[in-house]
Amino acid sequence: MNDTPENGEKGKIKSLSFEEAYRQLEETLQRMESEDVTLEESLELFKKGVELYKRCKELINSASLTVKEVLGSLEREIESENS
Amino acid sequence: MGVAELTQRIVQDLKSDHTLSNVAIRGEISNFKYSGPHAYFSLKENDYLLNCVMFNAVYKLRNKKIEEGTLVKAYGAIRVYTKRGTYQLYTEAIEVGRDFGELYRRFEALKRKLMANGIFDKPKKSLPLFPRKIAVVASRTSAAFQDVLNTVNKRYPLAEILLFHTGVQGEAATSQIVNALEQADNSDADVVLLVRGGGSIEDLWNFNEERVVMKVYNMKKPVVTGVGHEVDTTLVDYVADMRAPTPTGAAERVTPDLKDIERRIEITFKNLSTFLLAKLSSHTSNINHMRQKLSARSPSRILEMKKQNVETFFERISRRVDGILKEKTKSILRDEEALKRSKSVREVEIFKERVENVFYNLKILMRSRVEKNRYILDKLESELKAHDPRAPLKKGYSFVYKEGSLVTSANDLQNGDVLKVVLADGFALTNVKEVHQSERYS
Repeated sequence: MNDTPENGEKGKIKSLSFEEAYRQLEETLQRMESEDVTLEESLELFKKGVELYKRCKELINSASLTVKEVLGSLEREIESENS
Repeated sequence: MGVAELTQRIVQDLKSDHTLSNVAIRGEISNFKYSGPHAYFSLKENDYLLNCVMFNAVYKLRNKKIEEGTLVKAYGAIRVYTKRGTYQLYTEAIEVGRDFGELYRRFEALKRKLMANGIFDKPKKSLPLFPRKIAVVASRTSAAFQDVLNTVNKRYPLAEILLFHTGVQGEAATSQIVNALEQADNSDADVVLLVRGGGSIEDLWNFNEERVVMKVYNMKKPVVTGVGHEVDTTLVDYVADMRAPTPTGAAERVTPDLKDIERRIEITFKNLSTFLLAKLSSHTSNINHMRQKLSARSPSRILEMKKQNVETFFERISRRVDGILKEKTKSILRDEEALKRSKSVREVEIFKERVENVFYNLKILMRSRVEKNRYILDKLESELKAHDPRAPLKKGYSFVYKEGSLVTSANDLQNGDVLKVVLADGFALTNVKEVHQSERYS
């Protein structure tokens, strides 16, 4: 993970779903909390955490509920039922 | 505690119970009678009885005659009648089903059958924590669907709602619901909500149909039901992976609250920063510690310390040597003084004179002995010269050697032998031509 170019890592994070970004953020913290993390690795983890945090916030702030109707063909039947 | 206090406490307890403050109770009418504008009656089920009162029943029921034994659903709140110490249903509305009793019997029969077949024992599927797509099987125009939309929008607007529109009342709706469920199950949604607002048992009947129940039972995706009112239970509720009391409740059960998650994200991020800072500061203090240790062990520091040691040592040694020297000088001076004063000095000088005397006599003795020996030696030399083996050579004799050995007999010689003939002033090598024995010697 560390050897991929930073741009690639950033790009990947920018396309993550909310669930994935949130999960990875939690994992990043867990990794950071473990004893055997080197200083260099923890800096990398922090950088990644910042990107994941930004991604989560971006998704939260831009979230607006999408509603799609799937069974349009039934519409007529329903109306006749309701009347 | 007095009676009043106890009663007030029960009153408060009942008021704070949200379920009992808004119930729909099913039962058979008993002892219905008007008293003024109000109506008093009981609801019965087997051997159980519930006292009910309906204020202004004349207007609410439009003076309708309610027959004894009719199965009804009464809506209202359970409250305490403090003067009598009894609880009763303060009834707001009474619903009389057309074929209510019959439907109720069918409900119970189907429930028993499904239960006997183990349909209700189906293991529950777990719900997604973060649903991406939520399939909603509901009527497009229903308040139930609107409740779901509002709830999801408020709690988790990241999700996408897929509406599978269906009728939710009347005989034709059963097939539609089954079809909509089928489509929802085949969609890419993570979870399916089946919702409908409250109504009478007749209104909700589609959700008690065996086809609908079995469809929910066979769904691949997790299903959450939110059908009817808090108190309504339909048979689909028994086979759903989760049963919510209302459509709103169903929407709440399939969505996390984004505000909670956002708080967790903030905490997580803060912890991430805290951990990094802690790591950094622990490394910094490690480095400082190491630098101190390092400088304590640096060569120049060690050299300095050694130099100091040497200097101290040198000082100690020179002090020590000084001391010893002084001590020795003192003792020598002391000895000299003592020596001068002692009689032995005189004795030493006498001894010395005596030794010199002896030595002189010894010299004279040695000299006379050497003279005597030299005379003996000269005599021996002249004797030795007289016996010199080389003396005869000068008179004409010679030595004959064969292969390094002196020849003393003709028997040792053969023709052709090389002989070395030694004379007084040199030698010659000769060959033997003939060997003759001399008779005189043989």
